[in-house]
Amino acid sequence: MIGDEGITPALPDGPSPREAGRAGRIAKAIRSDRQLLIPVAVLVLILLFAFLVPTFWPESPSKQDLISALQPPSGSHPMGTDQLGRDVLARVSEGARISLVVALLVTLGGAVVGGVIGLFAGTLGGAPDGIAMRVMDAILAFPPLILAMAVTVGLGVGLSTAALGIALVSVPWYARLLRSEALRIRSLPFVEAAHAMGATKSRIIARHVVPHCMPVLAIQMAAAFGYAILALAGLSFIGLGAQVPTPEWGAMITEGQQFTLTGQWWIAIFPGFFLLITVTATSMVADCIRDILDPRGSYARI
Amino acid sequence: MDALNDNGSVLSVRNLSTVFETGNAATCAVRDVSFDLRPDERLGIVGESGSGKSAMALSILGLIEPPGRVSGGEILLGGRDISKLSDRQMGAVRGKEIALVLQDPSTALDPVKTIGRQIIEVLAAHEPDLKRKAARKRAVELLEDVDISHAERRLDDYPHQYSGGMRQRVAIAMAIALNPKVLIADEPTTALDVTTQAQILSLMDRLVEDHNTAVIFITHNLGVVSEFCDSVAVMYTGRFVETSGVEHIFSAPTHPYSEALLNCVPNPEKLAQGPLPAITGFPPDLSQLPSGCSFAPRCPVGKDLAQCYEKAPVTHRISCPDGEVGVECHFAEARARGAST
Repeated sequence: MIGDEGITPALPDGPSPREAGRAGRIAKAIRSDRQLLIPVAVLVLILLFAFLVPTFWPESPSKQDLISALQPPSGSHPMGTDQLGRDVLARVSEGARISLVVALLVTLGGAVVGGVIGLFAGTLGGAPDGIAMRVMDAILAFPPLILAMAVTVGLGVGLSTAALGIALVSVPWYARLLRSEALRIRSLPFVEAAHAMGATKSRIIARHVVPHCMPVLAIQMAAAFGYAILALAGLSFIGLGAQVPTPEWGAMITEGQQFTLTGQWWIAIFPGFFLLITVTATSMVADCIRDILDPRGSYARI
Repeated sequence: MDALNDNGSVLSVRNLSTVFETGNAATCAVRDVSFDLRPDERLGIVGESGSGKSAMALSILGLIEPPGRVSGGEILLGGRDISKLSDRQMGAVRGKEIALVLQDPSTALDPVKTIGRQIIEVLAAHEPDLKRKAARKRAVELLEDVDISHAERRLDDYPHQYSGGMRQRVAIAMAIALNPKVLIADEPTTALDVTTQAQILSLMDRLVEDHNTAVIFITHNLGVVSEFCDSVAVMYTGRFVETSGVEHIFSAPTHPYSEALLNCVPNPEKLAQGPLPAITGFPPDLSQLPSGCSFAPRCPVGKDLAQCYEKAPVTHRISCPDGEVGVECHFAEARARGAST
């Protein structure tokens, strides 16, 4: 019998392009695209700043030294010292660690909880779907930051309750997104084929629906990460998040702003500046991730 | 030995009905269909689009999604009624005892997974303690079985690296992977070009022969039926209007609809005589079926006869020279006699 052998493409030896894989594609996209290269470089620098500074910098973020309080930036204190003589550089670095880690946890938590709700709602349909999505609608009915504030106040002011509040308001977005993705994927022929071959519902979710949702989920998480950093700083700024003496950026800005009027600008400006560039770089990267991964967008960057 | 039904059939469908209920209209996609499938039979199901062929296939597999549901009847497989099983119990039947091959091979495979993983998933769904190595070996054998060269290497390719014909072979390999008793092929060659069609058909022919599988072959293509099937059921508005051996349909179709359907198949002789005849009109709305014969308004025989509009015909069992035929027409006997004289 004549098979498809005639049109089988010649198989190259050595690793196939597939093995270079997604990581290779992303690396290539970063190298060839300045719009992506700059924010990625900035984020890498911030990461290094957050995690490498404490390894060699002698100053502690919490050690008070009232004699050298309110000193302007100098060789021994590149970002100056605050009203209690604490080194602002060490504090900003500690603040970067807090912001990045908490924002990451908030993003992951929201994505997992919202994603699971959305997947089940979309796959099960019927009453569970209706109930879950109405609850999500109820959460969406509040302005996000106000709801996060309410949760924080209700559970007791602090960094962890602020994080919980921000994660909670992000849940409905993930749930809605993954529900619609699950609905779309569920109706694709290969899912029906898998079902006809004896795969159970849970197996289909795990093996077909989840992998197909990942790009969309990654896009949403990238966008939510920047928002989480900003919202966390916002809550701390108004006194609902991290409390003194935690060197959280938002809290540091609140502490430092009174000194800005009397000329000690460095206490509030440095955390503010780091907040600005971190959030900007994050949202630029999120935009690029969307361009790369969105199945409906353009593939111009690949 | 495989368990069969009491009457010796591998699959026995009794009075199967499927409805789709939307708002206040109920669309009857399958109406009271009964048939038996012998263990090595190849039953072709032909009919226009929307005649209920695919709905029937999905009903047998229990894959009708709301708002549709199987509203009545029994589906006997190995002596038990599978239409009453839960979705989880059905999971053990699907793929293992009844497998399905879909029409469009380009969408029937998950684009983000390698061919190998998808085949192994089918095996693993039914044999949870299958070891990775053994599963891979089985997958290679299955690909070799469907004539894919360099099977070992092609296992790690993605569906887009396969041609349409090869993808359909993979789908067939997955369908026969667990040696099902019944293979339902829902227009497996419709999306393929003619030469590939022929390859897929001869491949299916060999595999079905080797594995001793009964086949339900759904198609628009009467040529494929004459080549591949032993028996034919002509479906119209959710009913089997004529069931017979494959020769009968092509030599002496008894039901006016079968005859009209056959007349629409082009061949050089007919084309020389002028334009190809078409069946006039459209199939009736399945949510508002007429009380009499559903084919009457389009029927060259009964178009003007009051009897056809008033009374729904019953199935007449007629012995023809080429075997027993079941025909759902008031004039079945007269027409069969007319054809044989």
